[in-house]
Amino acid sequence: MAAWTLLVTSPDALIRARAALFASRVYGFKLRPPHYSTQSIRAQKAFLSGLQAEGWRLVHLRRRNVLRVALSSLRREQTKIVHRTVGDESDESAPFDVPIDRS
Amino acid sequence: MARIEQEMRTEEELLGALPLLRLTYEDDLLREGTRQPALDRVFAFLELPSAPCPLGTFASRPVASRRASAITTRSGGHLPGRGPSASSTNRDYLRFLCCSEIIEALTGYPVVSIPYPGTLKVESGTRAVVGNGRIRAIVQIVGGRFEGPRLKGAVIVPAGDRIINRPDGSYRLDGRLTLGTDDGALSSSPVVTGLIVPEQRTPPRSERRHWLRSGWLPLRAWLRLCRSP
Repeated sequence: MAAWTLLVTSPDALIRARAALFASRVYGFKLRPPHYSTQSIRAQKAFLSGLQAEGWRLVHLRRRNVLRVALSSLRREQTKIVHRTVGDESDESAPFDVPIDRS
Repeated sequence: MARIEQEMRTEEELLGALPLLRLTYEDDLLREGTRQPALDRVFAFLELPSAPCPLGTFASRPVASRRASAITTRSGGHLPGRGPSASSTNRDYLRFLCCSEIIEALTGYPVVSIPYPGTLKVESGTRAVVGNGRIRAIVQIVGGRFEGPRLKGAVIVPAGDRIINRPDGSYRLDGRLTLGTDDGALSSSPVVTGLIVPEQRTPPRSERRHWLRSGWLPLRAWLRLCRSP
């Protein structure tokens, strides 16, 4: 068995496709800065402006506590758990390493 | 930390001129008393009728009282009404939610992350090697599964993959797969085609045969999702 991790060629097209698949009145997704590089979105401002032009509305969620953001990022990178959805079993017990620079 | 701070600066720069609703976790979502007003702002921003915050009745401890060891301890993971109903379970669940996930929990609307549609595992069958110069192999795909956070299904056969050996030692794969999803809403006509290329260069020639025999290559696929005609 071969395992392939899938990335999308056209993030905006994927967003539109998935929004169309969900019969919900509201469809949402999260967009984080690393996504621009993993998805090879070079014209980042144009991408966001394009979303807005299509009618998407942006809710900017930020956390002041940078340490907690970093811990969350570390956990995400190591456990590969990006998000949970309603009804999902979470794997919150999974430990993760926090590299400490003692220099 | 430096990377995170840089990402946050980049984010601010990108969003600077765009009209948007700004929420801060510590101010708007952390404390029970501020969630409903924050949620009302979200509803108003989306021009939706307001709804009561479903988590408003649950106790959640403030950040200051959270223990660092909580990161490595098992603590439930059920949303209200979906699993064991102990309030401590719900409280523990809250500890690990990030901002956007709280919004999802608050609103009940799906939050989808772009970069990970899922993992595709396929079983290869016979292989025909054709061409001269650049070797092209046509590989039969005899089955497989696709599993992602939102999309799960099986590869519908017949399916195939064309592989071209490139001069730099990498493989150019072109997998054409049709997925039948397990989800009834999607099972009627989902089609996923993928242009698959190696994520990194293939292993040295001496190891290549072993890698191929073991049926595993480090691959990154680019996925196009569309409906079949």
